[in-house]
Amino acid sequence: MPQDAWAEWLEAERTGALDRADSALREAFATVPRRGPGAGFADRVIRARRVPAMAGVGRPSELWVTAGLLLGALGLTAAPLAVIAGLFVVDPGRVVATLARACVGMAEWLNAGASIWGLLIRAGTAAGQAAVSPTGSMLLTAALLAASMALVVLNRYLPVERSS
Amino acid sequence: MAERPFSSEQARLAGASDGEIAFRALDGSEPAARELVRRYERPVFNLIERLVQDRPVAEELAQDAFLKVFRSLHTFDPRLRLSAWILRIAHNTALDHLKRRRPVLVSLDEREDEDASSLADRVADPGPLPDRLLEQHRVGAILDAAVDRLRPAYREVIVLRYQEGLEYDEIARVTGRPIGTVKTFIHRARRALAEALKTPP
Repeated sequence: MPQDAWAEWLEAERTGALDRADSALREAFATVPRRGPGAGFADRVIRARRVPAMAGVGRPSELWVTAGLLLGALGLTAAPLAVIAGLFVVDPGRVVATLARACVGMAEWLNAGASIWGLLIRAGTAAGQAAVSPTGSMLLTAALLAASMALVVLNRYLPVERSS
Repeated sequence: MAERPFSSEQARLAGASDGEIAFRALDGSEPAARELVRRYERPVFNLIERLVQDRPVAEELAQDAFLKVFRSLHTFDPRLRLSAWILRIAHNTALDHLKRRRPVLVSLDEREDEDASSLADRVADPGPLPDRLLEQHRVGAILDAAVDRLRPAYREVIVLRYQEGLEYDEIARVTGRPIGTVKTFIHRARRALAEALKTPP
């Protein structure tokens, strides 16, 4: 009987009978309700377990995501600075001449009649030339890095959002 | 309901041993995982809630604890008791949470309660002839309230020893304390509990 167990425990504590106190308190605790979670707790755990990304989100993964975001941010910050720095390195005269040549080429091309394939070829050629220059490569790399990091972050967190 | 397709499997698993449940859950069986949660949701929640004393937070932490259990099931040594292993993860999860937030220490002497009467008086004077069930309920509720008034380390060992029925060495593994310290804590916690029941809160 719980109240007897309680009285026995208190008596055992008073007299220093430790083993008796231990067993009596265990008996008294049979009446103490165990607190439980709300209804559907197991379902929620199982649903959360189903999300594969959830299993991968540990401390190392968080560090990778943080490092990726930092690198992406650094890349995006460095890109405009690199362009500005490039203007100091490259002769401004050459920049102006290139721009002028581009404008002239554009005007000639428009006069000759624009076609979508011609536009694509010229755009591709220009992008290719830009990409092989140091500044262009740097910009392209930074953009690719930022885009990759954004995709990694979305890939990791979107399934978790969907599940919750 | 999501559980319906697994009902027969679930019924079979209800009689399976802890080791079998753990093995099957590790093998990817969802009914086994569900059975594992069903078996240990109360002990895990009970321990965490006693430590953090915040029901919604305890529920979140209990869910985290189970996800950690599933992630590290491959490290479980089947020679040990699954309950002690799971409770250790629950203990660590609650402790991590408590370390992250500002600690709130509850002293036996500082705790205030709206009821001015002694807990012991309430037991000694059971009122107008309550039946046995009502009496058990009262005794349980009073002990339950008294446990909440203990300091967190004592609350934890009392719950592990007297509610979860763990042995001293298992409590030592769960809490990460030496077995001698655990014995001392349990002894002191029992005395503190007795004091809490004798003196007005």
